[in-house]
Amino acid sequence: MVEFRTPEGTVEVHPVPDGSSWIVGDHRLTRLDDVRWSVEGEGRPTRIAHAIRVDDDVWLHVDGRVHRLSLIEPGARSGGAEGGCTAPMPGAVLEVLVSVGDEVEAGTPLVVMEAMKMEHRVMAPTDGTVVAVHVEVGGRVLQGQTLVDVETDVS
Amino acid sequence: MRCVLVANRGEIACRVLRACTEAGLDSVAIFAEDEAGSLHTELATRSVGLSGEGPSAYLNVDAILEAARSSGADAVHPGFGFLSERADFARAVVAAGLVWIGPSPDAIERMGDKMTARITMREAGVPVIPGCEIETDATGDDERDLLTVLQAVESAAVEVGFPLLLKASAGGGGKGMREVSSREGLEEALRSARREAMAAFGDGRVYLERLLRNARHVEVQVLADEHGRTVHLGERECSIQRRHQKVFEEAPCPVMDEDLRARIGAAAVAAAEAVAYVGAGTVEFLLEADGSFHFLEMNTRIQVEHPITEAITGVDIVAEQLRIAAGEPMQVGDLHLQGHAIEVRIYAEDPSNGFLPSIGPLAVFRPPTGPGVRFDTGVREGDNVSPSYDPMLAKLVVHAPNRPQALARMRRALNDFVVLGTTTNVSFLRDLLDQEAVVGGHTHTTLIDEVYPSGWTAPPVGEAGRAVAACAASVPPRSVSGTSSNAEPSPFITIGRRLP
Repeated sequence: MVEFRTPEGTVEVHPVPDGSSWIVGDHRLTRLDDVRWSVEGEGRPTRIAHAIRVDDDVWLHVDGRVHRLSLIEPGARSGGAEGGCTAPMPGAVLEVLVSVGDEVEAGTPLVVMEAMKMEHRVMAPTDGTVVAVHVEVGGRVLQGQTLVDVETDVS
Repeated sequence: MRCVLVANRGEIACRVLRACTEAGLDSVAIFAEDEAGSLHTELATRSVGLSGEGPSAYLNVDAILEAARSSGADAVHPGFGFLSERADFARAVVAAGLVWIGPSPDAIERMGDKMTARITMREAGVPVIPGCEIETDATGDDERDLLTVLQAVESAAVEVGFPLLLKASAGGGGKGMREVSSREGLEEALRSARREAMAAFGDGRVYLERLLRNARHVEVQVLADEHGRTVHLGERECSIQRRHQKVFEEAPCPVMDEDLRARIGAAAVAAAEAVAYVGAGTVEFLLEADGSFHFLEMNTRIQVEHPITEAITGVDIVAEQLRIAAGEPMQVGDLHLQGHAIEVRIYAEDPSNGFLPSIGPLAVFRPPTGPGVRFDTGVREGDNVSPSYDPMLAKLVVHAPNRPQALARMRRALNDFVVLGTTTNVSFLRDLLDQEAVVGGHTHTTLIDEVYPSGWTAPPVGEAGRAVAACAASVPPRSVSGTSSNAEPSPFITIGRRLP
């Protein structure tokens, strides 16, 4: 059994080996080389798909579109919702627009970053109060690093 | 001129290096420490490493001139971006006794400073966008200067009217440019545009332009040689932009007619002649629905989207740049446009996440091929996309007898394009190609925001896709070499059959 996290929710798939192929529901899949698969099913002509696993994601090209599916490894826990605002990209901090104690609304710009020569604004995800600022102007941050903590107001 | 150093990287370095090879010239590539082994270094006769990592390495004038000296290069092609529009670099190249493949430093300066360019064009009788140049005295005290500029901007904004564009005089490509819808937005726009312009160009001067809504961005390619000939190669329509970065370009412009082409072409030639231009350049205009057009700026270099002009004119613009720089007359006949060409820019970015730049390995990178398809890139399968450089990975260009066939060809090419491991805008572009405004040619500069007011969402993966992904996750990876002994040998390999 393979489990994926997709924007539409968690998806479980059960491939069944069948000789040199796999059967999944109405589809028969045959690996042609490292990344190419033939896909038979749905009463359609055989199609070619490309797929490759990179770390915990499977990247896929089928019917002219690319998809990225995140694998859920057995035992892995999905992270809970956080009020932290994280760096979308590795880059440099140009401006910190809030300080601890500031009341912010969802969408309030918190930090201005520069990455790939463009400026990006990191916004507050919810209404709340700034409880911690983890970066300063000129600092470099990694992708996913928490920049500011916003605590949702209890009202 | 025997050996050209290409002072650039990525896709455009590859384009120019190939042109050098075809012209029988030796070539020199330069590379930053984090780009050793990248594609462009392999296309040159020689390559020279620069010290340092990231874009700054390609901006080091002294190191680049030293690379030219040590490698025996006698000419420098700047590509686009980096030092391509820096007059001081052009001057240093000439002072070092090398051929500068581009217009004179004086022409670069007069067009590169957008405020000077507006004034020069007005004087040459070329219509400019209604606006105002902000000229104030600098004291060196940044905060005080900012307030002085802000006052001047606020009073000029009343004349220009809202919404307006606040632009850095040294800017370009959307950098140092802010759209301002009301007086209240001026200060923040000024601060951030100045900062971006200071960081990128070391010059924070700004000017205002009225924002022309629903205008088309139409640009004219010009070529001029030292023998007194200046020609235009028709127009390119580049209206489909996102944050003022072009995304989709086509030639010819869908609403162009012979009369308008003759007038806008003549204006472009007049613009080039006003600064005694030599080489390849592009004059950008905004074209309004009533057929009136206004000078926007001139790019004094080769442009990203030059291949669509090459497709419909049959002129190899980079080859002409080399020829013109060598002092020869250009080999361009009368303008004769054939068919329709479209280019899309392939960016490492995530369209379903606000188009933020993305990074990662190009684990699978298989560009489309076939009739009428041209693919210019600086990367290949197995390369890593770094956050240090511009996120443009490649340009995909198609050429077909007419616009509907060109659109169909582009759809096919985008469907065929397999790039896995790094998120790109390919699926977004494919979706864009089905939009009514694009199909109908009703393009303008705010089209993407209007078609996707709340952003773009990737299509969900279907049953077949989930099935393939699950199987791909379940089987162990094989070696990439393709010669691993586990695989059953293909009969074609064992027979060793070859087509004649």
